Amino acid sequence: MGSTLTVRIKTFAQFAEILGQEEFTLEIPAPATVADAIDALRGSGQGAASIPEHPLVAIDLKQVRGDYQLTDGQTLALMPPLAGG
Amino acid sequence: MARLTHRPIDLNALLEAVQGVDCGATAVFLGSVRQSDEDGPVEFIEYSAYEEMAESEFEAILKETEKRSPGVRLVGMHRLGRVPVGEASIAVVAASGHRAEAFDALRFAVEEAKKRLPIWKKEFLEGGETRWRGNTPTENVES
Repeated sequence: MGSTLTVRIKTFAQFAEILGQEEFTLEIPAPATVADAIDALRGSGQGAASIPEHPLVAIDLKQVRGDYQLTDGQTLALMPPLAGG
Repeated sequence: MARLTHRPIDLNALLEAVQGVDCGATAVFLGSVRQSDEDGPVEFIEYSAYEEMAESEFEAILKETEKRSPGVRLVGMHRLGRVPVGEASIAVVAASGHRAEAFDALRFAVEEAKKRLPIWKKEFLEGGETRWRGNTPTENVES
């Protein structure tokens, strides 16, 4: 059995409504990129498939791309289109 | 200095933070919750944020703007939670020796804030309808 990594997912606004929670953990096979984590999440059911394939994502308060390589224990912020102001 | 607040924005406090005897020009931007034919009967907007990141990003935007416009001092505040129609959700103030620099820096900082702050708004309409609202890009703005 291969190794896994666990990331904490934070969701906001309409994404939090879709997923029904603002914070949870996701365990995925290692190694994994942000895109892998999004794929796993979208396949987890409970309406998650309506999360876009390429949402805005931030790690450590900075936006990252889908090819960002995740490490165990990181927090992935899953963000709808920004609408400040 | 950039901050988030759950209370009404105190514009006088922001003015005091940047004004000085060397400032011949102070430019103020207030973005307010509006009700119009286009927007419908909005009663209030509920603002939410990735607060830690929004404050950090707002601060970064103001620092970048001050670097881009030497001599301009900036302060910004974004309100979270329920903001009724007519009240400000964001304020940015730029103080400078002359108006051209203050106007330019203010517009740059506001447009960057619109593009980069992880903040979301849910409109609550009269009658109980709700909708998530995105921002409209502004054209002809230097980025």
